[in-house]
Amino acid sequence: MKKAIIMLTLCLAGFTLQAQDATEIVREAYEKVNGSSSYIEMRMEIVRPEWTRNISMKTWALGMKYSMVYITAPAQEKGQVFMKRDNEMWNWQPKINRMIKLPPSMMMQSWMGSDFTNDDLINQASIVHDYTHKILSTEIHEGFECWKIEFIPKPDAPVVWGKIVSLISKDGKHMFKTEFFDEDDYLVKTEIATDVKTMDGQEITTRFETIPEDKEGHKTIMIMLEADFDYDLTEDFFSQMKMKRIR
Amino acid sequence: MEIIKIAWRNIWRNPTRSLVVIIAVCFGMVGGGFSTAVMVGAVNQRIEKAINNESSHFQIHKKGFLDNPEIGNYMSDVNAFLPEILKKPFVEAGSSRLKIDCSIASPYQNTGAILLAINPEDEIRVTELENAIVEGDFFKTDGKNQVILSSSMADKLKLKMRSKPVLTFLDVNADLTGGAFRVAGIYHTDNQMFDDMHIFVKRADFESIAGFIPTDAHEIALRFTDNENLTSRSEEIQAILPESIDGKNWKAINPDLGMMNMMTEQFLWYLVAIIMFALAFGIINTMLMSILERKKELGMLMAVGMHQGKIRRMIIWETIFLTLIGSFAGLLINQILVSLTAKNGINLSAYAEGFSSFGFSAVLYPEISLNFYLQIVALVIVTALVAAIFPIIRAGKMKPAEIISSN
Repeated sequence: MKKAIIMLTLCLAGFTLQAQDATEIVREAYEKVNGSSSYIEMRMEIVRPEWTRNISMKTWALGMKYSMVYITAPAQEKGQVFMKRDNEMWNWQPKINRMIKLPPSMMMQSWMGSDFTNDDLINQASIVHDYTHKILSTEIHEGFECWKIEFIPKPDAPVVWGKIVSLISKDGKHMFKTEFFDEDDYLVKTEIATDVKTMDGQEITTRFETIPEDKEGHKTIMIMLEADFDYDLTEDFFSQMKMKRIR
Repeated sequence: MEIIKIAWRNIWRNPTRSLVVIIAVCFGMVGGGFSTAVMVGAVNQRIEKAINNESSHFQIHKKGFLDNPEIGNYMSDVNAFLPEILKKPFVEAGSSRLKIDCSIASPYQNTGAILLAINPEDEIRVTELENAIVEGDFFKTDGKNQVILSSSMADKLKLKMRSKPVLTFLDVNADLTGGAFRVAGIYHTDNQMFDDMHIFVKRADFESIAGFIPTDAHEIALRFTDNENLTSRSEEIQAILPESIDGKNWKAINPDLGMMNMMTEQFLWYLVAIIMFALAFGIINTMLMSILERKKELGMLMAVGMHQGKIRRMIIWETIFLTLIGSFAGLLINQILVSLTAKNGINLSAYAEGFSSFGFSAVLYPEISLNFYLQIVALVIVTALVAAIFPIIRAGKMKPAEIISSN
């Protein structure tokens, strides 16, 4: 989910890239993210070989550090709130009236049964600082001119991937396709962004698919329904008090 | 003495019948004795492995750490007491560890694990994990941020030598931290439960990431020279430890193992008792038959004035001979079997997975103690005496005059 937000926010920058240097491209995209505050309504579709499940949610995010997710549907999950502050994650379960700080042992568990783990949402290795970047080629993707950029993790970076290859449009707005490889260059998962639409005055991709390679028939789709990219948020918003009151 | 001789001759008057009972007792003994040997061997092996690889003889923690293994529950100045403990003649070596729950992530999977940050030089003197390494080595090659994990965890996370998992854990201030580590070794012990949970890193690497200093420790594991006098040695060490720090021997750390030890002994004793109980019926049957067959003879002996007590004694001696011959033969065969298999072990590798999920080795080395044999012999004699009761009553009811006059 957070990845989607990052990608989203990466995309929403309405700036033109001057720099041709790969790291600069990524850095500028990243810095735009860090300053943004947004409110987004989304639907998550968890696709499994035997079933499909839909979860609707509202999300508030302030830069990369803070985010809050309120589940609105299905009824069974409604009211659950997840909050991220720095690298802590909290979960409010109104049904049992419990506030849980997710312990390291729960970080591995899948988030709401999707292809994301809690760890994915928290341990956002910095795409600028933890990697070295290289432009591989230019490509035309869905009518957009794109850079194909390779991310190689720095030796000590806490990153599991061997490399990441990402297709970023030259205007810096869209990150269409990101492929994650292990150290033996096997593809582990792919994230695909499609459905470019205009939302709140911004031209963005509104559909994100995460496809793990080793699990046949598994994928998670995030669809943006509504967005406000100038939402007025401060750090105080991301509090336990707010988690219990938010609707 | 005469009676014993007569009894001995009597049982060989019908060798087939006697041999049937003797062989039955013999097989009963082999069955009971050998399964005892296998189980005792397995349990002893398990305990030995648990001491050598897992718990060591003695562990020292801050009070409350075992109930609540949190990062902040550490001992802050181990030098205040550790050198004194290591000076004890029965303490062979000690390893001071940092121990914390962590998560280990590969590109494919995440899982929880218990991270043990150790000094390799100390650790190899306390545990035998170095011998359990199947790939790579136990921190022999230099390198920063190395991790050693089990083959089952490596499979689960699709990691291999030189792979780079990311470990996430809490630091000394309970903030989330972590780093990328290289797989430097893969180990495999017989205990699946242990393998599934434990990963090892070097203290120096962990200290620099998590902000500990070398005199901090969550756990100190001690290896004793042998497994004797556990209680008194524990008290001796506890006397050195400060108030807030607690020491436990392996039986207290693994109450299940201590209990298993006692339980097998008792269980096996019951097993043999049940076998003997069943055999007693066979013995009673044989003795009754032989008495009915010798009706005339016994009647004659009584008629010529042989004392009832002597006849009773004769019957008792007959049963004792039957059971003793059978059990001695059985125990002899058992001893031969045990010494044959004890050398190379009984290889049940086909079921290795099942065994290791209980923490047992798939190669069993049976062993049996002299004490067990003595107990068995006592049990055999009791059985013989009990089995003799019925035939004696039967013989007592005989009326010599009637028996002799009847045809």
